[in-house]
Amino acid sequence: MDRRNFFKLVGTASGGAVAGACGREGDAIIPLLVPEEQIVPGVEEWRPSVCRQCPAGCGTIVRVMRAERILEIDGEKVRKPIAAVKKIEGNPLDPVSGGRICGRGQAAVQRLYHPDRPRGPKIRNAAGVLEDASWDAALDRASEALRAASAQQVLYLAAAVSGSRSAAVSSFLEGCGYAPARTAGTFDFEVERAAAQYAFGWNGIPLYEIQDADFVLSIGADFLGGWVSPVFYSRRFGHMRRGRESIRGALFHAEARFSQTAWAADRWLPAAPGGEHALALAVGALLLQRHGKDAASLPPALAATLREADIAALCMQSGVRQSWVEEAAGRLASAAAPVVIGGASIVRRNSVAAAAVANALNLILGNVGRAGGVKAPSRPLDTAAVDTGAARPTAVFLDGIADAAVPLRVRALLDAATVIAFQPSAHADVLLPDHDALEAGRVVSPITAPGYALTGGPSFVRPLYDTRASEDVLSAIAKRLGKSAAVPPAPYEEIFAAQDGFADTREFVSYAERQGGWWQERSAEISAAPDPEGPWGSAAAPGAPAASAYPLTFQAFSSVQYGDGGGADLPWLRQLPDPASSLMFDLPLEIDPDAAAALGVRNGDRLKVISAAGSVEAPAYVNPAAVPGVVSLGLGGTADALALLPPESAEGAGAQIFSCPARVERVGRSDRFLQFTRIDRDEEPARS
Amino acid sequence: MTEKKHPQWAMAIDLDRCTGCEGCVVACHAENNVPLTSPDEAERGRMKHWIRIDRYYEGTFPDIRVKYRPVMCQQCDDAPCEPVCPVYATYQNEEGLNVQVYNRCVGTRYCANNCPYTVRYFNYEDPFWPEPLELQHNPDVSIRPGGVMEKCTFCLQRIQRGKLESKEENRELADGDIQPACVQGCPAEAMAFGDIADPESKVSRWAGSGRSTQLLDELGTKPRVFYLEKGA
Repeated sequence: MDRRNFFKLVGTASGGAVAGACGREGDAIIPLLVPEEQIVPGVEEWRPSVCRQCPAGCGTIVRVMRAERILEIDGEKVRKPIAAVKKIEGNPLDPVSGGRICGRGQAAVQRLYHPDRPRGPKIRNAAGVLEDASWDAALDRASEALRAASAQQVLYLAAAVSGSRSAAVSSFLEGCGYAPARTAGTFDFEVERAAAQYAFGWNGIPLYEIQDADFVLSIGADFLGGWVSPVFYSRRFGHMRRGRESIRGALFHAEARFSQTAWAADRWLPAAPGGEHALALAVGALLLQRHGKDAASLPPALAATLREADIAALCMQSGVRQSWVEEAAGRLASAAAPVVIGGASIVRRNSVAAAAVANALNLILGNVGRAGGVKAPSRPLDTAAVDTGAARPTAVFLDGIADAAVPLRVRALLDAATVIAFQPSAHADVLLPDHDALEAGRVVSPITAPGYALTGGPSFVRPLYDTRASEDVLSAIAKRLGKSAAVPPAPYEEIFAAQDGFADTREFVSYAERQGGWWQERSAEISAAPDPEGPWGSAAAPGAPAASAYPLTFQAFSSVQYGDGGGADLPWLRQLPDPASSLMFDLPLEIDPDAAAALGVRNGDRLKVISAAGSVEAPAYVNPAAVPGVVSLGLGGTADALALLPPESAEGAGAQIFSCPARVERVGRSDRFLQFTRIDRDEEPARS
Repeated sequence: MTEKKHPQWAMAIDLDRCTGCEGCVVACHAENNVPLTSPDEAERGRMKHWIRIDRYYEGTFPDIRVKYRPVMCQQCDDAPCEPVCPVYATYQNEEGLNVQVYNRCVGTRYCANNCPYTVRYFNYEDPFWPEPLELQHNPDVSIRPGGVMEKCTFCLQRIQRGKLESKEENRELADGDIQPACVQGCPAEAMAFGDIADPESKVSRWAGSGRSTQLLDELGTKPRVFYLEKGA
C-alpha cells in the first residue's frame, strides 16, 4: 500500500474529513477515527499502530472489521459487536517501516487471538501451579511481595523498548523509590552502544546509511536478520542493491554463522568465533599500510595499533582468508561511498572491541555524517543490564522479555524472588496480564530512525479478555503501597511546543495519532569524538576452545522465525520453514559436515550439546555453511539455547555472551525432521 | 505475449534484493486464510504454503553462497495443471491468471501431480483454526473445504478490489495500484506486480531486465513469474 492508498483507505472508510487543517499533506483526507462500535459491518477500517514484536518500532496500519463475539459482562454472556483485526501492514508514512513489514510483525495478530492467551490474572499456588485469581487478589499478592521487600530488593526487568509505556514504568519506579528498570542483558544492544561511545562518542545506536553506499562491510551485525531494525535495514539494503540507476551496491559480511545477512552478501567472510576483532584490525591495518588512508581522525592508540599490526597474523587469527580480507579493504578504499557496520548479533567476550574498531574504520574512510556513511543515533538509549553479581531482589517485575531470552544468571534471580509478570512466563508467581499490543494505545520511540520519531496511536480494539493496561496496574500497585507516581505526559504532547503550524496541542496530537506517529528529519549532525581510552589495543587470541572437554564452540542466535524466542508459540511462525534447514515447528542444531561425519550424524539425529553451564538436546541439521567446529542453535525452539551459556558478560558491557565452549554427543535416536522443501531431504550435504 | 484488452498480470522477483526473510510467506497466510497444519499432517507432506522460499547452496565452505527463490503458482500461460482437470476447475482467465474454481473441484489432484513447480496444495481435511484465531480471517477470501485443491491466486481479491476502486473513481488502473500481499509486505522491496502488457509498468521493466529468467523455462509452460538473478 502506498501513501496515496493509505490515505484513501482510511479516508473513504471513515467518511469524515478534518476540515480547517493547516495545509499539511493528508489533512484533507485523514479521517477522525471512528469508534469501534460505529464500524459498519462489511466495511474495513485502517488504524495506525506500532509493532511491538521487537525494539525496532515499525509503524503499522491495521485492518479492522466488525465482527461479533460472545463476551461475559457482569456474569452474563452477551453477543457484542467488536472490531476484529484482519491484517497488519507497514505504515507507508513511517520512515522506519516505509509501508513494509516482516513475518513476525504480520504474525502479531496471532498474539492477540492466541488460543492460550491468559484470560485474566493468575497467582501461583502452594502446589506451584498458576491458577486463576481476581484482580484484587493478584494485586494484593503483588503488593505484599513489594511491601516485604526493601527498595533495594525490588528489580524491574524490561525489554529495551522506549515509549509511552516505559515512561509510565519510570514514573512508577521513581514514585515508589525503586531503582530504574534494567534489561536482562539480551537484545538490549549494549555492545553496539558501548562501541559507538568509544568510536564516535555517541550515545545510542549509529545510523548506517547503506542505501546510499556502494560498498558495505558488515562485521558481526546480522542487520537483515535479528539485529536492531530488520525491516528498516532490509529496505535500505534493497535500495542499495538495485534501487539506483547504474549503481549496484555490494555487501561483504563477516560473522561466524551463515546468517541472513551472510546469505544476502556478495561475499561471506566466515570469521572464527571471536575473530571479528582481528578481522576489523586487519582491515584497518590494510587501509593504512597499503591504501595510504589517513589515520589523523583515529584515536592515537588505535592508529598505532594499526600501523604496527601484522596483517597476516591478524587474518590468521580472524579465521578469514587473507585474500578476502584484502579484497574487502581494497573495495572499501576504492569505493565512492563505503560504510562499515559494527555490531554483535552473537555477543562474545571481545565484541565491544570488535564493534568499536569496526565502527572506527568509518573514521579512516571519512564517511561520518556523509551520505552513504554513518550518522549519529536518532535518539539516546539509556537502558542497562542488571548487575546480577550485586542484585539480590526478593521481588522482580518481568516485563516484555521472552522466557527464551532470559539468561541463566537472571533466571537464578527470578527463582529466588516473587516474580510479577505482565505477560505469560514460566517464571511468573503473579501474572497481571497486560492488554495485547494491538489492544493498548501506545507510542514507541524506534530504536533507530532517520530522525526524530515517535510511532503509534490510540487503542482501537476492545480488550478480548479480563486484561488491564500495565500502566493502570502499576498505578494501582503504587496506590496499594501508599505511594504516588507522577503521570507522565501523554504521547506527542511533550513535543508539541516544538512544532509550528498547529493551533493547539489537541490538534497536534490528533494529527500525530491519525497518521500513526510524528517523524522529523534530523536537524543537525553530531560530529564524532572518539574516545582515546577505548579498546584500541591488539586483538587477543580468539576464543577458540582450548579445553579438550569442550572442543567445539556453541553459539546462540536470534532466528528469522522466532526472533528472541518470543514468536515461537505463534502458529504462522511455528510452521514457517527454517530458511536454512527447511525444518518446521522447531529449530535445529546446526553442525558442520565434518563434525557430523565424525559423529556419524544425519539430519534429524538427536544431539546433546554440553557446556560447562548445562546441556540441551536438539535435532541436527548438517549445514554445509556451518563454520567448522561451531554449532549453532536459535532461541525459542524446544531446546533452551541460553541454558548452555555461562553467566558471563562481554568485556566492557553488561551484555550476556551468546557463545561458549561445548561438546556434542549423539543421543542415539532420531526425531521426525519435518522439512517443507524436498531439496535436501534425501541427500547428505558434502564438503570437499 | 499477445496484446489483450484486459490487463495481463505478472510478477517479477529480484533475487538480488531478496534476503530470504519469509515475510512474504507469512503475509500470504494472513491474507488468504491458508489453513494451519499440524506436525502430524506436515509429516504426511500436507503442509500448505502458497508461497515458499526455495534455498540453493552454491559452492562449498568457505566459499559458499546461497540463493533464495520465492516460489508460488507461476500462473503459466501453458499451464500443465489445466488440461488434466476432468471438471475444468482450473483454467486461465482473460487476465492470464490460472484460476481455481473451488466449488467445481472434485479433488482428483491430477493438477498437483502435473504441476512441475509443486505449488498446488490439497485440503485433505476441513481446515481448522482454534478459537478465537478465526477472528483474523480475511472476509474477502473464501475458506476452502476438505477435498479441494488450492494455490496462489496472485491475491485475486486485491485485483478485484483495485479494479472496482478505479472504476468508482472513474479512472484507469495505475501501475502499482494493485499489490498482492507478498509484494506489499516485502521488506527489501524485492517483488513487483502489474500488467506485463504495459511496457511502462514496473513488472515489464523488471521482466525485460538482462537478469530476467523464468523457472523451468525449458518445459514450455510460459510462466508469468520472472526472476531477476543475483549478481552484478
